[in-house]
Amino acid sequence: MSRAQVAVLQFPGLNCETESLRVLERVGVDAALVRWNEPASRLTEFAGFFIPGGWSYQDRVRAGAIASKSALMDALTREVEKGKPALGICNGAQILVESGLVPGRETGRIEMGLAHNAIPGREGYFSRWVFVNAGERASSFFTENIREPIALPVAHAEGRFLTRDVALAATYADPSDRPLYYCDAEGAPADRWPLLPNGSLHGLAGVSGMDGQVLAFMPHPERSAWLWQVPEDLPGPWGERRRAAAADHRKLEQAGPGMELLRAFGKLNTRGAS
Amino acid sequence: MSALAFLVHHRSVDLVGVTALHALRSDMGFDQVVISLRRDDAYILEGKGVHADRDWADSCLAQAHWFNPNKHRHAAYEAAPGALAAAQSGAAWPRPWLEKLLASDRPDLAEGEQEGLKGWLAAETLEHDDEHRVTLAAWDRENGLAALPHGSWPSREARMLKAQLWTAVLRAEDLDHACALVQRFALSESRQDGLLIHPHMEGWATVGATAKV
Repeated sequence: MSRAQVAVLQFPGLNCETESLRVLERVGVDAALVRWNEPASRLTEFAGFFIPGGWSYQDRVRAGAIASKSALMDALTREVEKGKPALGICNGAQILVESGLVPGRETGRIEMGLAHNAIPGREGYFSRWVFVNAGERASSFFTENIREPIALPVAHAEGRFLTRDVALAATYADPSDRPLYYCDAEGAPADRWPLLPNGSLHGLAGVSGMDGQVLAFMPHPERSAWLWQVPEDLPGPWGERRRAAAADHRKLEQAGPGMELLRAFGKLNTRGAS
Repeated sequence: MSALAFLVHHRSVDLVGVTALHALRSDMGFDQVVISLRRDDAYILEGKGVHADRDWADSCLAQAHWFNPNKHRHAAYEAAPGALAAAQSGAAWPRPWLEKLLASDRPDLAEGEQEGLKGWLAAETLEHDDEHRVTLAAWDRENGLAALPHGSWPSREARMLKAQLWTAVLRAEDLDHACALVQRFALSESRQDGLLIHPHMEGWATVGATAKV
């Protein structure tokens, strides 16, 4: 079986491309870096896309705003309209939101924003491990493997999904309809800091679009893709697995919680790559 | 009642402004439209006890976190009141808005030369008949309007609007066309159009529009 080709898009200032390439190789696809100054037509070669985190264009004007106007995002839009999946992590999520690909009710229309974190008594960049669950009715290409809360780190200053569209906001009121939402270790929706790390609308950690083929997700699954990346003091089942692995290197090399989301790319191998 | 507008501008190249201009011209198809783009921070003080005088201007200068004198220029203006109401309720922005220069980082300039600083919003000279200059103010919908920050103020009863001013010089058929074009490339309604202001997060108003006279 041939391995599907997945592109990791790099804009100047993104800084998670190496670990993103590594986790994609781990899930069994061939991953290649495509830089912003390469011919955008190159994207037609790929079956799926990954936009990693960082600070594209130094977050000038607004996080993700400048990258969203690039020729590469023009090309990506054409590819996802063919049904190819795209995942944006952190700054990658901000780029997808600024591109109007999520929630994507009308492709290209900007229906949401990712605002600065709302945290009691503090502002700016915030990093911690959080738990995220997937709504059953919002199952999509990337979330259908998620059967229990996954643990992974957030690291951002602008991760609060919001919209002025009341009707759109209402579609996420029920946790079952949220593509990915912050929760506690047992899966109960989080409604306040610190379990909800940024004050996001209805606790949204990720929003999908284009019939679930595109996902904008603020936490970093590539930083919890191996069990050894999970902190030993983490509560819940993933913390128990990490502690049980102790210093057994073979066990520590097992899949971590972030892999539950990332392994979706492996499905491209059976789809008929590129 | 009077209002005070305290404006801050980069002394050297404003990388955000330059990057935005490059994106507008190179990626968004406005290369034949937008000639220049300028970004200023504005702190607009209105309310009971605010007087457009030296005391208030000095108090603005004392808010050291608003600007770095090594990196930024600044100027304090007497302004027409109404900006805060415009931000709060969508009322029209007061026009003319900036009325009189009160203080600047160049007090050494002669009075007549200081008049040149009244063009703070209009640094670019309009050279051709089809050139227009339009300024938009944008503010955070949630945190743009606020009480005065900690510091030494002649009165604590005033309120403040922190805004960003985007001033574009562009080619257009007339002033209405210029305002429409600026809204098109400024308001991020879609990926194709709009970069500078995110309507889900920011409020905005047109605060100045000038044609070559």
